[in-house]
Amino acid sequence: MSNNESRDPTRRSFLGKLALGIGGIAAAGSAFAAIRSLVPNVLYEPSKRVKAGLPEFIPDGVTLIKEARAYIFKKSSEGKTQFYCMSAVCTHLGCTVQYVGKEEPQPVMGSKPQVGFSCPCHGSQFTVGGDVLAGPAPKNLPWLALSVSPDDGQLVVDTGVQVSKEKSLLVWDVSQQNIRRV
Amino acid sequence: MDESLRGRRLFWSYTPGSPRESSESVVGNFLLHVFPAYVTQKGIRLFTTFWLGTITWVLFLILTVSGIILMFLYVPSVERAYQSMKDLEFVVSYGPIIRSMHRLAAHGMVAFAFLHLVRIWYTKSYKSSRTQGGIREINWLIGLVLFVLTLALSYSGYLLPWDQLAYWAVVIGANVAQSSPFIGDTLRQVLIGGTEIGQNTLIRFYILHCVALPIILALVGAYHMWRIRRDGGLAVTESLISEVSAEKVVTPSPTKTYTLLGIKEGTTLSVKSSLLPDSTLTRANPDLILRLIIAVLITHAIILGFSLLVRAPLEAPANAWSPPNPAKAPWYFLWLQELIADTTFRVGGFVVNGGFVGGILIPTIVLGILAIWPFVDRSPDNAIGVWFHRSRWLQNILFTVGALAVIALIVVGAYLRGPFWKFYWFGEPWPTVPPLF
Repeated sequence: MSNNESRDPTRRSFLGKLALGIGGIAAAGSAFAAIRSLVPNVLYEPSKRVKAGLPEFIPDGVTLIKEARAYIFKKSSEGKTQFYCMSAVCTHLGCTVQYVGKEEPQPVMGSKPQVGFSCPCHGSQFTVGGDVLAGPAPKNLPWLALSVSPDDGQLVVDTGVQVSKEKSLLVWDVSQQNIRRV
Repeated sequence: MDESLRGRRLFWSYTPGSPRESSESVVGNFLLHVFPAYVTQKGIRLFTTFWLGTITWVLFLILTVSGIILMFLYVPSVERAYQSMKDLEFVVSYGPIIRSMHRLAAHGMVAFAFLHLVRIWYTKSYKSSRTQGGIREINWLIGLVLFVLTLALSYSGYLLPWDQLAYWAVVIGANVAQSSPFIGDTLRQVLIGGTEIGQNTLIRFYILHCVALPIILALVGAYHMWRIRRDGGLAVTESLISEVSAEKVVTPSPTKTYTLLGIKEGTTLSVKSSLLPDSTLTRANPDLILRLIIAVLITHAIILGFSLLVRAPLEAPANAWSPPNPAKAPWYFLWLQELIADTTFRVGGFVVNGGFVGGILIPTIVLGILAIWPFVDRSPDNAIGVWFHRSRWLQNILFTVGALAVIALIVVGAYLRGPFWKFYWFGEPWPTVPPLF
């Protein structure tokens, strides 16, 4: 009988399959809608571009810009000032790493293999240049894009843009600044 | 009517005067009809089960009731969540006690669910004998699901105060999810409702903790308990049933199937267990029910007593920039935190994040091994329901080593890790670490 049915569907078997099919599609559709609705389309989150303050007021050395969860390095010499910016978000599982270095940072050139940053959650250790020294962190700390805001001259950290070490460098010359401070 | 019986009349239809009345009182009472009318004497002995599963269930009841009370007093908003915890601690009458009961019962539920698992293992209660037709392996699998649900409830629960512990636990949890291959980013986004932790995250975990997970746990837990009867009772009765069915021919009665609405055909174990001689049995009312009431009352009294002595901790309000140092998970997750911190491995230029290895891969493997173990356990049937049966010495040692390893990791995480998750021996003083800012 079942062989007969499969070859020559009766009205009953056809309606049964139809009902199952429609029911299945409806169930799948509802499930998809339920899950898809949980993935947001619009994010009401703070901007990834964070103003870090006027360059001349950032102290020499290492400064945590907490709103950006990033460290800014400042090094002044011969009238020129260099800035670098490095993410403070541990590449392991996202805690904020803390600066534990004792000496003056040498961010790009000649980073000595000495602990510069340490993570309080799982003990990852990084050099002052952000390279992994020890612990579970899988990647080096990324370097972030740094720019000067055209409207008020503040440094702007863009936490959404990772750059290579060389491009993170921002040389700032007071004499070249022609921005009117308000 | 006798004065002393008046209170009883509120709950029980009548005081059983004969075995038959006793049976009918169980069958005819809504609350009691989940029990069989008769249980084996072995089954209700303290040393058979130590009532560990029952206590876990009682703790879930305490959690449900105290949780509903807390829901009246808690606002799931980033701005007000922490404030409502402070209100609970300092403004609400008996607020600290209710909160402490909820927390202690939650810790207890994790602990007793684990002890229950340990008991099942050492007594080989995850297995039915080959001839009897029960499938206790299913209940073992369901039990593992319940254990994971319990941990998920604990995790989503300690996020709600929105203090430092909560916030950084979400950060770690979300990034562990993100470290899983292929679906990581989507998983993280669905979990926290965006790319950053905020109001979306809190409301998601609130709904999970207060609605979704408890309902799932209650349903799966009900099935877990029904299956005990479906499989012929506690594993300790297995040997009794084997003896009986070896002697007598089992004649199935159509009214005694205990399958859902009688849809499934065939003989279930309940039929065979109904053949057990009266000398091995005892009435559920009052012998089982009395013990159950004692378990409920003692568990509640102990939780209440401890909640008077132990205040539930509350850390500083969530600080999205600075984690506590060291940032430690609650004890039942510390072994995972320790694993996460140790298991990143590098092969050449290829790096696998410890968050994935320790947070997802190893727990899944552990669960997988536990899940398939009953199916590969080839020890004889007479080990079922027997504590530390000789034929299972190797399995028991393996299990003990595994459990001790987990406990050792917890001890290391709890006592031997200091600032920056560095290793400090017992009593070794921690250096003072300046705050992040």
